[in-house]
Amino acid sequence: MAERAWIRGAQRGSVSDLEALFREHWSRAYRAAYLIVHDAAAAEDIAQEAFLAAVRNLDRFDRRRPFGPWLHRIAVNRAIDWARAAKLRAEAEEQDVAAPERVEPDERMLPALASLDPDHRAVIVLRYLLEYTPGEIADLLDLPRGTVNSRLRRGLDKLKERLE
Amino acid sequence: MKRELQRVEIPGEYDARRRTWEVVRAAYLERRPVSWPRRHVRSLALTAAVVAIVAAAVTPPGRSVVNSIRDAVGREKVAGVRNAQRELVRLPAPGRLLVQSPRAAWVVQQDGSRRRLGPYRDAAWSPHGLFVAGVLNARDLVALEPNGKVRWEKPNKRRAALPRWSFEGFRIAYLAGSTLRVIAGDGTNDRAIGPASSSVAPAWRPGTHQVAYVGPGGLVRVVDADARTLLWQTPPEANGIRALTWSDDSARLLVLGDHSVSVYSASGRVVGRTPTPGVAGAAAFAPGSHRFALTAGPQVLLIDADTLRFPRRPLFTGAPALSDAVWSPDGDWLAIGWPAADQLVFIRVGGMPKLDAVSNVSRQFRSRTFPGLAGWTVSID
Repeated sequence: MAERAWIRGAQRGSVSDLEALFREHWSRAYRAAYLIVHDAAAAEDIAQEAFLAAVRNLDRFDRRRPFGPWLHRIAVNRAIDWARAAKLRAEAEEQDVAAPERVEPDERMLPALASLDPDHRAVIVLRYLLEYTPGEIADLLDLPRGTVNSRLRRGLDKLKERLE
Repeated sequence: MKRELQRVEIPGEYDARRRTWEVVRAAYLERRPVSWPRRHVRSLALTAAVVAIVAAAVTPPGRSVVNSIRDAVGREKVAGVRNAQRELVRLPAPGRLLVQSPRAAWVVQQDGSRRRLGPYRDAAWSPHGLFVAGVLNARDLVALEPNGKVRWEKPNKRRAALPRWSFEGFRIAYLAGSTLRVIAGDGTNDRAIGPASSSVAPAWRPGTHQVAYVGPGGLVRVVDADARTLLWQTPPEANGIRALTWSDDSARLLVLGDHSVSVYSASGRVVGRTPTPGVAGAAAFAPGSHRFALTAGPQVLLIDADTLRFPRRPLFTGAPALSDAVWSPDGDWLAIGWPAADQLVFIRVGGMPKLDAVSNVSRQFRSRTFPGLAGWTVSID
């Protein structure tokens, strides 16, 4: 309910309501983008672009719809595009530009996640970080639900292999 | 799994959040709230169109109804390149583009991702794209990294403008009020060179510390910035000077006037002079060549500086006028601004001819006016 009020307030020009929306959603959008692209600067740009798109379209936004999925759709799709482009660059240059910038010795999740395809990373982030159902992920990414399920299964299998 | 994903530490998260909020807040404050009629413009337009068609079909004054709708809704608008992309999703050639909107400088990566560097004016790449020089708050000369991190800042008593890096990045020439100044690339040893026109950027001769600039009375002067000695100067130009640019091999200096192009050798000999077909916009030498792209009125032309012979056909035409011209680092592509169409046009000059265009450029750089192209430099990988 608070979110609708923030959107209404932001549509009417309230900076504090916009800030409330930002505080509510930025961290998850940024984290999701980072876990897909594994580059902090790129994740920042992607989350920023998603919020700027939100500001641009604020007046047309339907307050009955939840804000999060709409924002996450933009952020995650941009992150997938960026990660795919990074992968192509890495292949062309024969170096791993998508490698994480810093890995703590006890943090195995990030490198394991980095070893997956961007498409697999995205569905895992959407499912387990942002907690969307496979049906919702299918809607967000414009994919058949079966594809989402198979990417989830393959992604989890690969993750398990890497983490064992 | 969720706990693991939430535990992943992201470097610089706090700063990223602060920076993003500043940008989002600025964009929000700049936006114009959409009125109810604009928010419902599609349904209103559809209704109006149906009414117009019915009126045109069944009533004699129908045509006037159609015209009035056209008058109300459809002001003359330049359509631009057909099939232009609505978003800048990638650059057609490797490198990074520096874009200057009235309020901010932006870096566009080859994959189309954009970073707002901050509220800098007159931004310019360092020779290898490792740094950007710009002006903050009208008076402060700033050198920053392409990720927005400020390396140094040099406050000025007078209005600072148009910084340009020397070939190896060890010097920056800039204008402070109506004086040309040169500062070392690390922000030290700032000194005055001489009185200068405040509207034309200085141009370093590649491979040297000689800099060309427009002095009082419209004379183009070339000085040794280290020795502070005048090497040569041109006669006064008949009309205003818009830009100065050297060829890569430092053998040709091009002086772009409002309605003319003059080319000089490195020693100051006139190689040629010719009027432009329309008001000149910008000129840029192609990398590793004496050919330069010239925007003049609605045309972009590729001209040999040694002969100044104009080609029979322009590379591209976009009415009423084209603005900037910057080359991709590999010299295969030319980026042109087309303000009336709000488009960036990328023209492949090397190899098979090709045209790519991007529309809605002002919106993408959050500007009410068409932004400028400040340079296209190599990628850092």
